[in-house]
Formats: sequence, C-alpha cells, structure tokens
Amino acid sequence: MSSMDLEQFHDIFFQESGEALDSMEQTLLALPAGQSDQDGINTIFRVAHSIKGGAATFGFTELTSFTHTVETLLDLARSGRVMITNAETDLLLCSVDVMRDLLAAASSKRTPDSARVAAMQAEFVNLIESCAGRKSVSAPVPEIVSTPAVNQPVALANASTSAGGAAGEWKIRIEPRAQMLRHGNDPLRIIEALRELGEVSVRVDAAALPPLADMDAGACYLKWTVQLKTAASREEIEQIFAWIDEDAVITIDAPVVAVPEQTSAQVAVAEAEPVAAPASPVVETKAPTSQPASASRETTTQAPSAESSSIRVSIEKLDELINTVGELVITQSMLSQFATGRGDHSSDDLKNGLSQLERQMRALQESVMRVRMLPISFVFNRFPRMVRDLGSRLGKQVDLKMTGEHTELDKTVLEKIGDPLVHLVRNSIDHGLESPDQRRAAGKSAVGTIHLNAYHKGGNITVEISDDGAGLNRERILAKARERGLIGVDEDPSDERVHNMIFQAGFSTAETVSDVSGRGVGMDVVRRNIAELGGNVQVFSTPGKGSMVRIRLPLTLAILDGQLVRVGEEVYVIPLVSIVETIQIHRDQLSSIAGQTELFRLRDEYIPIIRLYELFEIDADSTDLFCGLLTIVESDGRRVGILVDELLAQQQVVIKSLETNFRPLVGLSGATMLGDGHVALILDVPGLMSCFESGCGRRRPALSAA
Amino acid sequence: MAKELRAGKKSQTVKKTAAKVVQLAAKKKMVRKAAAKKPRVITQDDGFIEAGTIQNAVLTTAEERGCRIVRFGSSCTLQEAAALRSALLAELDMRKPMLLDACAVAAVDTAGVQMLVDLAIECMERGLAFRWKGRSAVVEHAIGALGVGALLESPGSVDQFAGLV
Repeated sequence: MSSMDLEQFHDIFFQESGEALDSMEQTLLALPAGQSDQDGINTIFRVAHSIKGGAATFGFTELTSFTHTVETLLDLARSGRVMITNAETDLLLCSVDVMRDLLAAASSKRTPDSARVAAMQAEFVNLIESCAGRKSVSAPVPEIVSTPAVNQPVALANASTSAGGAAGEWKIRIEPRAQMLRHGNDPLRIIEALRELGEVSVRVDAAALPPLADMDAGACYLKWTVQLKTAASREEIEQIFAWIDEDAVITIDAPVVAVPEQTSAQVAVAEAEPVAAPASPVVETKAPTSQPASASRETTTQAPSAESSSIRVSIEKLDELINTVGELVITQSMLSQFATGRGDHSSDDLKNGLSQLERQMRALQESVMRVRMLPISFVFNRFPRMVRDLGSRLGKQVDLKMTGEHTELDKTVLEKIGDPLVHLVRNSIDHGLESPDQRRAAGKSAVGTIHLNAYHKGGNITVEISDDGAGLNRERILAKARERGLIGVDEDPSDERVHNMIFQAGFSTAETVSDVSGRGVGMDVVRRNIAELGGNVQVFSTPGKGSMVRIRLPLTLAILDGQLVRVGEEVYVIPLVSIVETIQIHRDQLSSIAGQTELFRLRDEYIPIIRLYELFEIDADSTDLFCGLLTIVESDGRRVGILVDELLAQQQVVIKSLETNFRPLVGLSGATMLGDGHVALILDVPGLMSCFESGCGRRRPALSAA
Repeated sequence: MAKELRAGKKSQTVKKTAAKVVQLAAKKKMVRKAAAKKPRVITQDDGFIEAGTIQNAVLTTAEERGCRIVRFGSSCTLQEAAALRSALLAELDMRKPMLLDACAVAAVDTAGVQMLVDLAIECMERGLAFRWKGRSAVVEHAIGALGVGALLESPGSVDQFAGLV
C-alpha cells in the first residue's frame, strides 16, 4: 500500500488513539493504588500496544518508540514485577499527556517536543531498570493468559513465547471469517506478504467448503496453516495482519528456540499448555484500532480535546431518522394524489394530510437534532484527572461525584461548555473547598466533595457544579464591592445580587493569586461564554455548607425560539429568551439625556430606546415612538427597548449563519428563511446593546461590518 | 441589505444547483460504468457470442464430442464469483465431462480460486470427469500460493477428452 493510501487512515488513527488515551487515563485514575488490578493493567497495556502498532504502521517513529517504552513498564506490571503505586500512576498519566502531544504533533504535521519526550522516556527507562534489574529496555514479553481466541476480535495467538528476532519456523494459522473477502482482506495477498519474509509452505483445509449450490460466493471457507521460515520478528509478522481487524482469527505459534530473556516461570507456563488453537492460550496482542477503541465507545468515556468536525451517531438514531423519512415519503405520495386529482378526496383529507406532514416534519426535525446530540460525559470525563491533579497540588482531598453524564446536548454547545466548566470546577477546588485541617476543625470530613450534575428541564439542559466547602464569603464580597464602588457604603444588597458580583470582570476576593485562580479572571468569562451560548448562570451559596453554580443552556444552537417583529417591510427575529415584555409607550414615560439618548421609564427603571429603523437604515411605518411598540430586551443584566412596528408570530426558526453565507454583521446573529420564502434577520441582543452603548446606536448609527 | 442577502442566497442556490447537476452526471456515469462492468455469462449454445462483449464474460461454454468446454473469462475474482457460481452450477447440472480452460484468466483472487476448488470437489462428488486444458500463469501462481494444487487435480486420465486437450 502506498503512503498516499495510508494517509487517508490518519484521521481515523488520530481519533481512535485519542479515544483510547482517554480510556487509558480513566482506567489509570480508577486503579486502586498499591493493589493489583489485572484487568485495569491489561486494558492500559492493550491501549498502549494498539497505539504503538498503529503508529508503527503509519510511520510515526517517535510515538512508536515512546509507546514501546511505556508498554515495557506495563508489561512488567502485568507480570507482577512492578507494583502500580501512586508514583507509577502519576508517571503513566504524564505519559498519556506525552502521547497526546505526540499524536497532536503528528496530526498537525509539526515537530513534537522531543526534549519532553526524551525526559519522560528516561524516567520510564530508569523505573524499568530499577524494577526489573535490567540494563536495557527490550521488547515486552507477552504474557500468556487463558483467553480463547474465538472471543477476540483479532486474536494473534501463540502457544509459546519468543522475544522475536530469532530465526526459526513459525506456524501461522489463518482462519478467515465469512466476511473477510468482502472486506477486501484477501488471504492470497497475506500469504504472498508472508512469502516476502521468508520461506513459506502452505497447507489448506477445505473441510468447511459447502456444496457449490449452498455456497455464498463472497464468503471464505478455506483455512490455511502456513509454515514460515524466517528471521523476522513477531512484530514484523504481526504487521502483515494489522488490517485483518475482525475478519479472521490469526494464530501465530512462535518457533521453539532458546530464548535467553524468557523467565523460567513463563517457559513453564508455555510448556505446560498444549499447542491447540483455538482453545490454546493466546497473547492479547491485537491489531491497531480494534478492542480499545470499541471498548471506549461502549462505555462512552472518551472526551474530545478539541472541536472535531465529525460525529459518531448510534444506529438507533439513524434508524429513527430513516423511519421518519419513510413516513414522509408516504405522506408526500398521498398529498401528490391531490395534485393529480386522482381519487375522491375531500378538503378534510387534504387538511389531515397536511397536519400529518407537519407532525412528521417535526419528528424529522427532532430526529435530526438528536443526531447532533452527545452525552455530556464527553465533557465530564476530563474532570477526574483534573480534580486529582489539582487536589494533590493544593493539598486538598477531593471526591468527585458525577451524575447525569448521559444527558445529551448539542455537539456545538458541548464543545463550548467545556472551558467554562473547567473554570468553575477549578474555582470550587481552590476557593470553595477548605483544607483538610480547616474541614476537620469545622466538623466536616477531611475529604471535600465536588458534585457535577446534569439534567434536562423544560427544553433546556441544566448543569450544576456544587461543593460542600465554606460557601461564598458574603462579607468579603461586600467589602470588595464597596472598595470598587460597585455598591454604596450603606447599601445592603440581596444575597442574589452579592453572589452575582463574582461575575464582574476583575472581581476576586482571593487573598493570594495562584496559577489556579485568584486573578479575578474567569468568572466573567464564564458568564460571557454561557451567554453567548444563549444560556444563563446562577450562584447559590450557604455559608459553611457550600455553594452551587447552576448553568442553564439551550439544547441546541441550530434552532431558536424567536419572536417575529415587523419594521417597515422587513421582518426581524428577536430571541424569545431575551424578551422581557412588549409595551406601548405613553408620553409621560419618555425622557431624554442631552437630547440624544431616548429613555423610557418602566416602573422604577429608565431604559434606553433603540430605533431599529434608524440603526438598519430602513423605512418604518411608525417613526413616532407613540405609534409603535417597544420590545424590552435584556442581556447580561442590562435592558434596552427596541422600537418595532408590529409583533408577528412566535416560532422556532432555523438559524443560518451570516458569517458563512454573507459576512459577519454587528447587531445580527444570523438569518432565517420564513415560510413565505423571505429572509428574516435574527437580532443579536448583546451585540445591539454594545453597538448602542458605543454610540453607534444613538439616533443615526451606521451598520458596520464586524 | 436584505436585497444583498437575497442576491447572495440566489447565487448560492445557483452554485448548489450546478454542483447537484455535476453530481448527478457523475452518478449516471458511474451507473453506466457499473452496467458495463456487470459480469455476464455467455454460452455458445445460445448463439450469444459477440465480439467485444466476450472480454467481459465470466465464462464461455461450448460442447464438443459430448464434452462441455468451459472457458473462464479474463477475471476470476470476488466481483465475478456469484455469476461464476451460477454458471458453474448450470454446467454441473448438465452432467457431462468438463474440460476446464483457465488460460485467459488475467486476474484471480482467493474467491476465484475457492470457486475452482469447490467445482473440482463437486465434480468428484458427483462422479463427473473433468480435466484442465490449461491455466494461466496468474492462476498457477495463486493456486501455488494458496496451497490448493492437490485439490484441483483431475482424477486420472479420461478417454472422453482425447483429442480435445
């Protein structure tokens, strides 16, 4: 296969390796310190082995070499020669980071940080040498475990072990599964590839071949036993089967030669076990992109480190989509009978047909939206590692609880909510939770708890981050707010207002500034990011008991609940979530500042007025404030009134990006197509307010491209 | 502004339509290609041999001196396997000695070789005589590599083929 051919698989390799590393990280975090968890270590070993195999196939030498070293340590752990304590877990977690960097470097075709890789590799070599009493890092010796070959997606099996590299006669059994030929894996090519490694003799088993009449022409019924005389290593032989995946059971019996590095215990096991496949013991060495990736998919434990352009969709969701489309086709054919005038149809039938169409379109819309939905565990899964690292750095014992990880939300929202959540969790650990001594003194357990919870409520998703720490310090926040002039000296604001002050830019009550938090940067960014997603954030706190941040987010960014408003001949959409109320203006409610900014008095509050027709330079029916309607909108705690001619319907609109289809415009977040085919622009309320506050919205602002 | 937007939308629609036309044309071309490549079975008995189409045939058959002469086409791979199987079954049902000619085979894979092996075993099980008129180098190489040579051997010499081989 040419290098061009292999390059098309790079993306899949990067994606699956990323997922496998996520799985490795989570397994490492779940390993009980100082105790033997054979299953966990085996899982981690398989991940490292798969990545190594893939990296070798694609020629990522640095990744291959590094993973090989990691694999060696893991192999020692599998054989019980190394105990995985906290120190080893830390080292392995660091190796996950290094492998991620190496993958990212390979993916973006940049040079990796070789110094860091070398330093980490040296640490591994030192540990291996000290544990194994060896002076060199050799190829990992596969451990023999009693796993039947038939249970393995790809079983590269052997009956005895070899360090590889020794000349001898290998016995390779190829037992194709029915689909092997259809998947493009041809035993003929495999045997020819083996022939290139050395002298080959082939024995075929045609016992399973059915009569021609019963034969599936695309299935493979023949089995082969290949005797291969070669000096090639096991890895070189395994490379040939790297693409077999689940299409065959491959059993490789190594030549029985003197292997100096074999331990006596392993030789004893090898000799004790009869050489009989598939019941013979197998080595759990697999082709790349097999078990670890699929296992991590099943447990949905992967966490994308960056925004990705692809999505995995469950068959169930696709089936639902296909089913709805099928029903739509039936309805369409029913309705087209009306058009052709065939049959005896009443207008009631047409109405029924149309309402059926409407119902199915809604179902289709929901199904399509569900395709973009992913469980929030994609974001939550990054926290166990973060909490562990941060807790140990700050000398705090933290127990992380996660509930509702399977709650689904739109992929775009999911990718954008990650950073705000990181800020909040870091804040909870740094500011919320007390040190173990303080906790004990307060009569609490020394171990603090951070609870991440997600659930659906009223068409939104709610994410809560709570801790059982000291809670927000009202007095300190008030003092800081008074110091910065945010509230008057004698003012006694409500708890809600005090709590909301932590979202002010540059507001921090931390006495010390660390690299974790305390600079007053973060919470304002959190609120802005969440607002950009169309959500909101609330803080609740009980002194001494803890605090909770509740984030409400829309399930999707593709559809918006909007209020259609008319200004002249143009229709605009105002997001419903921003609208407070719509009122008619009376003369006695108006005033102005310096004859420029018009203000409307709404109860005890003065609200600036934005004349949309002036802002967008269009003709309106009502240029007189008393003839039109004022829609009061709110963003970021601020309110403005937008003057419109008429309120039209409220409806869900599908957002089309202006940036993609036209160009970004200040004050507009997108466009949508209305039922009559007209384009309606969607107002960006925060953008309009910023535009207004910067002066361009007063009286005759010019619409400027962003 | 709205006009500008609509104009942009229109030009996008035109572009999308043009792209769709190109896609459809490509799809039609692919369908035509696929139709041209569809494996065919051509038998002399039907008087169906045509110059130009014979190259696409998976099998051409004829009868001479009471023997079926079965000539395999240029390609004997997974793609042709299903058509080949049906054609061979029809030949087997004629219950006549078969002279197999794989001299024209230029492409073969495991599916093709497996079909030959099954044919040979089936012939033996049904008590039908068969003999190889010849096999191309490609077929010989695949048979050797897959180790199926012994399974394809004709069971002894058969008088029926005298003068045909």
